[in-house]
Amino acid sequence: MLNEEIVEKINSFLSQEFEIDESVMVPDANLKDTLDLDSLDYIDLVVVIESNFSFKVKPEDFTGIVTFQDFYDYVIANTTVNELV
Amino acid sequence: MARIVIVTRDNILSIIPQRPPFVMIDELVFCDGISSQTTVRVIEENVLVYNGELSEAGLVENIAQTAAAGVGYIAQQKGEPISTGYIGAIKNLEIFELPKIGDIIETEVKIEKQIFDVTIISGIVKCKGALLAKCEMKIFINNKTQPIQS
Repeated sequence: MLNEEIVEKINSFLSQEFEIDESVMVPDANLKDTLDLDSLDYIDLVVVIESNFSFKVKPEDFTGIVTFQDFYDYVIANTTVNELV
Repeated sequence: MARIVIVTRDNILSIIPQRPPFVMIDELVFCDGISSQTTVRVIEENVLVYNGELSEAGLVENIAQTAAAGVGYIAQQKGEPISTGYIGAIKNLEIFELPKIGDIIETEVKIEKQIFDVTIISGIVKCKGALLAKCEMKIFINNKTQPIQS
C-alpha cells in the first residue's frame, strides 16, 4: 500500500470514528486535541488501527505520537514491516 | 429442547461480584470463554424495575453482569478468585422494547477484543425471540480482586 493511500485511509476512518471533518486533520495538528481523545477513545483508535492495518499496537507506541504526521509515520512504518513479513 | 443450566440461581453469586439487590441475572446457561449467556426473570422487587418494566439501566446492567458471569465462571473453573469489573463506556446502545414483570429475558455477550487492560464486549438481550436491546461496552476488569468470602 502506498503511503498516500495509508494517510487517506487513516483520515477516512478517523473522520468516521470520531465524527470530525477531514479538513482539520492536517499533519502538524495535535492528534489528541483535534480528535478530543480521552483514554477510552485511545482504545477505539487501537481497534480501528488493528482492524484496518492488521498489526498489533502496544500501549507504549503512543508515547511518541503527538501530531497527525507522527501517527501517519507510525502506521506507515508498521504497515510496511507487516507487508515485508 | 431443554435449556442446560450451567450455574443455577442458587449459585449465581459464586461467579459474579454483584450482590443483592443489584443482581440482574438468574442463571448462566452457556459459557465457552468467549461467549456467555444468561437468563433472568423480571420481578417486581428488582430495583431497576419502574412502572412494571425493567428499565434501560436494568438492561445495560444485565448485559454487564452477563459478561461478569462469563469471566467469573471461567475463573471459578480455574480455581481463581472472582474479579470485579467496571463499565468504562457504552457504545451503540439501542433499546427496542422494555421487558415486563414476569418476562424471562435471555442475554448473550461476546468478548470482541482485548485491548490493553480493556475488554470490549458486544451484548444482545432477547425476550421470546424478540430483540430488546443491544450495545457494545468497554469493561475494565480488576484482576487483583481478593476472593469473596461468603
